[in-house]
Amino acid sequence: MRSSPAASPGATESGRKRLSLPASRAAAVGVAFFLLCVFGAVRLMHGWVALGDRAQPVPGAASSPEAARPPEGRRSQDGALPAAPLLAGSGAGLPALEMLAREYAAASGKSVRLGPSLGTSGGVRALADGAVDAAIASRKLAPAEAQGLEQVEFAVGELVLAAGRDVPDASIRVEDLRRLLAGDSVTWSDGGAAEFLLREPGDSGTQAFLRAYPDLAPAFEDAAETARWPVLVTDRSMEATLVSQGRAVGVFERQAIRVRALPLEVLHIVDAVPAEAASRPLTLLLRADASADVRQFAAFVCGPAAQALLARAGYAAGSCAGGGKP
Amino acid sequence: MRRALPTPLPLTSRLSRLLLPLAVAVAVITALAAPLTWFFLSYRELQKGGADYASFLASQVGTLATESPDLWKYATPKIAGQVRSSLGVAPAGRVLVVDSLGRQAFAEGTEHGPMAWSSVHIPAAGADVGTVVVGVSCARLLKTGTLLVLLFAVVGGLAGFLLFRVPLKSLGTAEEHLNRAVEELAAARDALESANAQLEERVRAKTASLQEAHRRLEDHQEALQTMAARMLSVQEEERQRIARDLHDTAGQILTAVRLNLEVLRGQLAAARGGAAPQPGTPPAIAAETAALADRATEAIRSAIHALDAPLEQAGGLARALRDVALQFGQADLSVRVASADIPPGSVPAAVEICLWRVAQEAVNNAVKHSNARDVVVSAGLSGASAWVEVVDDGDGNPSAIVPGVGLRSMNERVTLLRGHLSITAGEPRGLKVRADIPVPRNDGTG
Repeated sequence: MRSSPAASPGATESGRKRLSLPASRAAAVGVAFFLLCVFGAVRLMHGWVALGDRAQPVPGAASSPEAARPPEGRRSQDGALPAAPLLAGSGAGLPALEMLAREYAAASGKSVRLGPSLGTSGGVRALADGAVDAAIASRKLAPAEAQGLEQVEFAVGELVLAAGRDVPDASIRVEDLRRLLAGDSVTWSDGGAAEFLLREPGDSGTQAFLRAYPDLAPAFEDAAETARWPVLVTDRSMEATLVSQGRAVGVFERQAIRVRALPLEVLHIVDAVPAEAASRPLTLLLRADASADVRQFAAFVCGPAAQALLARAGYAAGSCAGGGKP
Repeated sequence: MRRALPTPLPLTSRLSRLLLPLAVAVAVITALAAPLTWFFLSYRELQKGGADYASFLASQVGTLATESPDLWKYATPKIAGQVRSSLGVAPAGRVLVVDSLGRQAFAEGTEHGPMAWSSVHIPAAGADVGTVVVGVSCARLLKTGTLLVLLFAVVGGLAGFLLFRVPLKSLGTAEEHLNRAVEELAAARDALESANAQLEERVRAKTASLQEAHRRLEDHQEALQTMAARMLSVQEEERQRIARDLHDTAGQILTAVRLNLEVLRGQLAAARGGAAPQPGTPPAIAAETAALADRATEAIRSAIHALDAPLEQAGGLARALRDVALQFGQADLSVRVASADIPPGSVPAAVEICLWRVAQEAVNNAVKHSNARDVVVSAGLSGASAWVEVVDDGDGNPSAIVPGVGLRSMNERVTLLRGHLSITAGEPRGLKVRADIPVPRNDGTG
């Protein structure tokens, strides 16, 4: 009996194999193409990022007159050398030094210039670079920072909670303060919402305040981490914000309020006893090769006239007062 | 010619060729479109975040640099902290602030893997005093992007696989059914062919059997024809023997009776004196008996002539037919032979005798029963047969003919030779009797 190939079961089975083989091969090619695309996409992402990374802008030295110009601390206002000593560093010392500079000028006829708030660290670096003649510090220096520097602690400032003039209350309970830092709604006695202003972590004023009230440290750290309240990075900005926002409170220096006659009030903390005095030293930092003018000013701030002036402003006497080494 | 069954179409292969690009495209698009889109948008967002951060920091630093061109860089860490707190979240990466001399004023963060860099100049009093460079780490972006690609690759691969596999599997099942149907069809066709072959075999066997029967029948017919020819020959011989017997016995006796009656009539007439015999008298009776004897002698002579007229003696069929015409021709009846185109020896003797006897009987019938005035006899060869035709102008009617001995004799003679006898109406009147007898060809067939 004759039979066509398609009619034979064996032939049909082989036919199926013949049919399925190209399909399997094509599917394998498709899978390979797909995997290649996936691999290519990953490579594309890495390549794209690497391309952006290679485009890192590395600023080179500019051939500008700036390069040949000496630091400002060594120049006079009109460019002639030498000039009045330039002091810069922690903004915490500026209110006291502004007051002392005026007194120094009146007493000696010499002047000193005060630079912007650079922070203690910035002041130390500027001094090391010779950009300033003396730096201002509001904290104890690390050993590495203090190396080769003379420290003239001319006053000690007290840190308090300062409140804007629209705050009707004179005190705040420590629990309300903790709740306020935690972001809970806290109102003053007139029903107005209380606000808080924070300083950046490592600020000497906040650290001094928290050394006095260590129980509040977690609340401060939590508030700083969550950025729940505005974080200010200079005493100047804290001062301006407290003044402009009448219902806010923040850690501020009591003596600065008086020296600058700021419209701020000290807010007492009820139900809390400070572990120690909430204070920080105000120090002038001098290089070993400090000029005579600088040394003269340092001697002045430690002298009786300056110390009396500082005492009247509420500052406690620094370690140099009363014959301490300038 | 047998047509092959259709080979099953490679449906699975064809569909796979159609579906594969589609499935791969779906898989690739599914796997890559969303992750790559997310990646590039996120990269741009990352870069924009870095650029925004750098711009903001540069503007803040620029403000300070305007006030204090030499000290701004020492305040940069505080300003960077201010910016970081103002923007809420610092970019995870590297922040560099360099002055116009390329000296680093501030640096924070570390480089984690590849970075997306942005740089903004620090403007101060109409000049660039430095540059803020912000690099945002792309390590997390890359890691997340890669994970997304892999995750979507799994989804896309699955989608592509399903898109490719499900229709293919369904079609494969359909194709399997189709192939099975083709197999069943082939088996059915084989069975049909087998049955057909058996039927053909049986038909061949039956045909052979019929051919054998036909051959035997032809043999029988041939034997029968031979026997008929032999019978006719015997019949002719018998007729001649009867004719001789009649001539030798009855004819001689009647001649003797006639002679005796003449003698007797002469003696009776002499006895009466030569007077004319009176009716009823012996001489008259003798004379009448002599006349009867003459008539009997004449009848016997006619019978002898009818029985004993062999073709050999007549000189062939044409001469025999003319003898018939002469025999039956009378004063008021014309019997003539119009044509007799059958050469001697061209047909078997049995056929010639049959044609002659048919013509003899037909002319006899026309003379005796049709009141015809004219009878025409024709004979000839036509194709594979010899024929004879007798046409009269009498009053015969084919439908009114009652078959008698003569007609049956004609029919039997013609049938024995496998011929055909027909009696039809003549034109314009009378009857036409025609006999067609097949003549064997020279090769022995027929």
